[in-house]
Amino acid sequence: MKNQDSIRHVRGESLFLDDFSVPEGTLYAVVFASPESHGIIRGLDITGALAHKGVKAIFTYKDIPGVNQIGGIIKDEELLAVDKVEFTGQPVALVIAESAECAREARNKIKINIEKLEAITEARDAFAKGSFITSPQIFACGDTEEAFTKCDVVIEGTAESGGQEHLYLETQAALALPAEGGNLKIISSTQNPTAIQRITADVLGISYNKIESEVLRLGGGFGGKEDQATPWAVLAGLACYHLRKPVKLVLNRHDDMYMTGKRHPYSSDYKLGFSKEGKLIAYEVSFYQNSGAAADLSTAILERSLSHCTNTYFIPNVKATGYCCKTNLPPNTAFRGFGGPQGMFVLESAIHKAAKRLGLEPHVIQSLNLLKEGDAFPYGQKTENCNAGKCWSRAVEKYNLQHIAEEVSSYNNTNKLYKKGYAVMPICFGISFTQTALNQAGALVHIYTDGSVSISTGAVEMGQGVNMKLRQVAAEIFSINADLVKSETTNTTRVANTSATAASTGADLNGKAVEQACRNLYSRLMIFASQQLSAEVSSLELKDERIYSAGKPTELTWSELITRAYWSRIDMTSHEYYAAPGVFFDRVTGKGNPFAYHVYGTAIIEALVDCLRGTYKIESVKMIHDFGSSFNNVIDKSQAEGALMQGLGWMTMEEIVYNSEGRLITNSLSAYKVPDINFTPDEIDIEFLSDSVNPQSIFNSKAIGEPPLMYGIGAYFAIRNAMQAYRPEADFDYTAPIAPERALLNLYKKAEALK
Amino acid sequence: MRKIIRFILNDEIVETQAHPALTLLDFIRKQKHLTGTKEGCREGDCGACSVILGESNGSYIRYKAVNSCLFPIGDADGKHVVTIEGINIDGLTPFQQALLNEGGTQCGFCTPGFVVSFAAYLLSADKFIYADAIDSMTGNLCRCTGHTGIRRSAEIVIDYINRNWDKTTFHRAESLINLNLLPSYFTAVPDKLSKLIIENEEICAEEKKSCLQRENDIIKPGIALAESGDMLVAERPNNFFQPKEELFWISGGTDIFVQKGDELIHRDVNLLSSVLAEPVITIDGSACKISANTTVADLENSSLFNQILPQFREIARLFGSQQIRNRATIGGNINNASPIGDMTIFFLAMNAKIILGTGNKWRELLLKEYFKGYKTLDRNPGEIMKSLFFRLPHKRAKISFEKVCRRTYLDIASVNSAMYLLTDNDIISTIHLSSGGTGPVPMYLKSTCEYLTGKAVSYNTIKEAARIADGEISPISDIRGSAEYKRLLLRQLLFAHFLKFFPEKINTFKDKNFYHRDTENTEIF
Repeated sequence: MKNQDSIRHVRGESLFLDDFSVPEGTLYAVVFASPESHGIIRGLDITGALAHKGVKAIFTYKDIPGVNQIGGIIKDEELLAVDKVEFTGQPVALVIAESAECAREARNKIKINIEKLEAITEARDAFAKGSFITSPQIFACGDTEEAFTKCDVVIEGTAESGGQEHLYLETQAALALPAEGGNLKIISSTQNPTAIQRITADVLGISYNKIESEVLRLGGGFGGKEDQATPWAVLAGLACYHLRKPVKLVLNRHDDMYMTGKRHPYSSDYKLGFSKEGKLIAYEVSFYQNSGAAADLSTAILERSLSHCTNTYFIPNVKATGYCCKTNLPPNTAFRGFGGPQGMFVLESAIHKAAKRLGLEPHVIQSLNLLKEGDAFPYGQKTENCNAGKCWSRAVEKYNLQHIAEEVSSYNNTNKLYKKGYAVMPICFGISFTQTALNQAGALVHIYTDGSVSISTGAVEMGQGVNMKLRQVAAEIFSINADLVKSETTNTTRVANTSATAASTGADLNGKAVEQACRNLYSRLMIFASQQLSAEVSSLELKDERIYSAGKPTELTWSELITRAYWSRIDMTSHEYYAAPGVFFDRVTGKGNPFAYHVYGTAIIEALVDCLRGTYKIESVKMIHDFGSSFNNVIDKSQAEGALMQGLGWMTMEEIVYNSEGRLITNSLSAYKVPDINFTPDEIDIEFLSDSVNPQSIFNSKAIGEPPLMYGIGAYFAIRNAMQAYRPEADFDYTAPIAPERALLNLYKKAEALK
Repeated sequence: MRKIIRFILNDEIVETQAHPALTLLDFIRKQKHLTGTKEGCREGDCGACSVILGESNGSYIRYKAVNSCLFPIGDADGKHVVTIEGINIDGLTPFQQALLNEGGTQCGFCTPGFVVSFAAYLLSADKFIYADAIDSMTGNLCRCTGHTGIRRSAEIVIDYINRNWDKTTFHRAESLINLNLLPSYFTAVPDKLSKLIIENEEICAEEKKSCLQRENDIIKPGIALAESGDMLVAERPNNFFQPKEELFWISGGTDIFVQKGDELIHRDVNLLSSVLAEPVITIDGSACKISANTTVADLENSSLFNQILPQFREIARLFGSQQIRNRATIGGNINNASPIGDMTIFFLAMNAKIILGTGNKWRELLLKEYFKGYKTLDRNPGEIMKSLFFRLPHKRAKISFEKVCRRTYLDIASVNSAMYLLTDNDIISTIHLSSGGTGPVPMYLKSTCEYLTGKAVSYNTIKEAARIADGEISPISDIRGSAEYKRLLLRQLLFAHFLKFFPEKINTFKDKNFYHRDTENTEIF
């Protein structure tokens, strides 16, 4: 089914925050941020800026009536710097003026005197200096030390993966509106309206019920608006609170890029032991996560790297250690995949290296070790309805892996300056927030007297089509046209204490809550209908907007039923609540059942490398993906395509560069490149895995947001394999992204650097 | 008093006395509250702000997509500006419907820009070809990314048009209206626009003192111009008066609005389009002459230029996006003095000359002698570049342009290079080689060319030429790549030039040192 919400998108009629009509007298805010990555603030002079024509106020930490703290998991992040700055782009002051242009001009007049301290930019450097966010986390099973002694081969190595800029096309934005009695309404572009409600209230020192937080939709989020939408909304709220005037804060692209955190770069060491056939026996890995200057979501992200360190393979002995290394970069944050891709990349690198050692194709080792039903992950959970093997076999069969391998090999035999490579990338991704408590959702469903339906949940629409899916849930249960159903804005006064729309769970959790609420209403209406029709409830059903009795249509249409129900004083509102059952996790032991279920899939990726120029093209991606039982193929397929493209970008051209002082160099779209329409592979084939059952989720579906991103990892190996065909004797390192510079320098690597 | 700017915005005539450097984007969004046009980056790299610009050439209206974030509203005067709101019909156009069906829209923020770019393509294309339609959307980014669905949608609609195109309808807009691809008000626009232009001229005549006149190919005496990229900074003659602030002249605006967007609306600004004649591309004897304000798209679309350099269309696709090419001028690219300007590198290999000067004192200068140091030109205060010319290429000439960057399209080169080559019996008789990103200026590789002249093409010759070129260049490490990379890349691109034409004569595989960058202690050479 098409996403009917998209009709407004294609006509340019969908409103994003900066499109709203604002009340007359609205003021505009810009953020003055630290120009240094580490230092002590010795002086801040705002007098020139305050005197600038059109400026209404400038706020600093001194103007915060409550607590100057925005940390989510760990309370380690000031809203506005007090006496110390820890990253370039850290907010120090807020300029309020009649227009954003005026505020930016005034901002140029603020003078800050910072006594510079040494800045750390690399995770390993932070590790060496003992600079951490928290203590290390360990996931382990079996006994690696002993197991290594029993392996035929043990290899060691390092792998590096880079950061990634979210580049949501709509930048961070918020609008704070004053309400009576010192209350505020904050509309923002956030994945987490409840965080904005709580943190604004805490910062202002007022109770949560004085803040109404609302979201209409996001022009892209990808994790970048889970935690990092908060400071901007809170700052707008702070100004609004003091001035009692509407205040709008929209980051321009440049500010957005250098003030916000990104996907975490990881540097990792591994040791992998296996049999001579390629059976994986023991795996030790240490992840050095570049967390940036504050915790943000880093600890949770690291946890997912650990839980996904074995990807879709069974390894009996595992020890994974992770370090959140504190550096002087903007706090790195959630990005689609949430640490999972970083964890998987290391093992895929290790398997690739192991294959080379054994003289096998990597896919031989991959297929030999795929998870089977009942296999345990290092965190103790056992697979249920495991589809790892099904996806793999179907991909190998449908796309004829043997044939692909032969074609690539024959191409490489006849072409000298161009080489092809392919890789198989199987994935397994756990669905649920690993913080068990977050796996809850509420829904509020109204039926109005004309039969139209209104749904409110905690889900935030950001392009993933959750609003359409929720409408479908209600339409399905009431058996009415989805056009009669509207998904409302996400608003904390309608559904409270919401979790962020994240971890791919938006449709799962909120869909279940909507389902429950609709079922409540359905039951009430059926009882009422049975009275009206003097029929047994069990003989009645709602079908195509009409009540059927014993399979025969009655005079009660949907709208007639609703009208009568109102006049008979039937409550046509239901609130329901859903807590995902069966998930638990013990952080102390690192064991539990953290995920409601897992998503599986296998992709085959082919790349063509121009070995003269060091450039490449991803020619095709063919995947068998486990969508569960999808109830919106159009949305799910485009989510898979989109996630894949972001994964391809992460592994290839997307490269974030900070200089040695921690200043972002790739701070504009002319310097930071993401896949464009030409980079899209000519062939993307997506097959929905058949017969996948998933009773854990709404209508047997599976979450789709994040998992397909990890197919992108296969592109790295496809390119690398093509390069290897050009330089069979070369020993390349395992560093991503493999942008054209890295590709060319590796293709023409110095002689003595070769083994 | 400011000049009144009058144009047609969708189907409505609008009038404003806004500062001429106010961006069209801000005008559309903030003053006209048409919010379908989005701000994504304000540097012409995302295309969310794309709008269509229609210019009357007397008999018909030529439409093209531009980035409204880099477009001075003054240049909209007398034009037809079309936003997404002006493309919508009752219901959905086939492209909009396809985007819906194919999952080509997710968050929806970039979508209007894609719809606008595609519509501009339909209004301007000679033929409807899928690959060209995709190229027209190179300047639009979908981060979600629905590019795959957008490609499917373009394919479906191009096919639909080709199956249903009514060849009997003379007017493009009318045909598109018949296929539901454009709203019907477009038929009334040509008359409306002609009328508007006449009215504008009348208003202009009344305000003659404050309104600059178009003059044929000559800048108004009394104002001398010095160019800096797209920006043209006017310096008044010393005996006139000393301006407190420099007067900005804006040409295409694709660079100056990126660099100084916030600042321009506080400055005294004039638009070059208000004083320069229309761009001209002519053949004058044995030379091709291009006026400095010719855009890259003008060259792409010129049948004359395509006859002279049939390779150019493909080469131009590596330059910016369609929106950028529609605005960026040859004069701007050269005078920006960027060491990696694609057009500069190309015309260096054409051994082009430029004409610069002021008033009635004009001089000719070889382009390769124009660049004196980083962003420093051999240009006297008050001089402007008027045009560029080059000898028509020999019919046997081999012309090659190479560019490597992080992303093939809409990206800035790490290294680019161009070659003009003429051989007689495999002996090089004439060669011009240029390279960008390899030093503080766009370079003409003089010693390399000297070495190659008179040589037979062979692996060893090119290898030696690459060694000589390496001695000529002085790349630095920056955001476009490390110096080490750029040195290696130039060597590769030199081989690439020759491999295109002499694949059988150059076997890089016989020499294993080709791969080993530091044999003989000389890095790659």
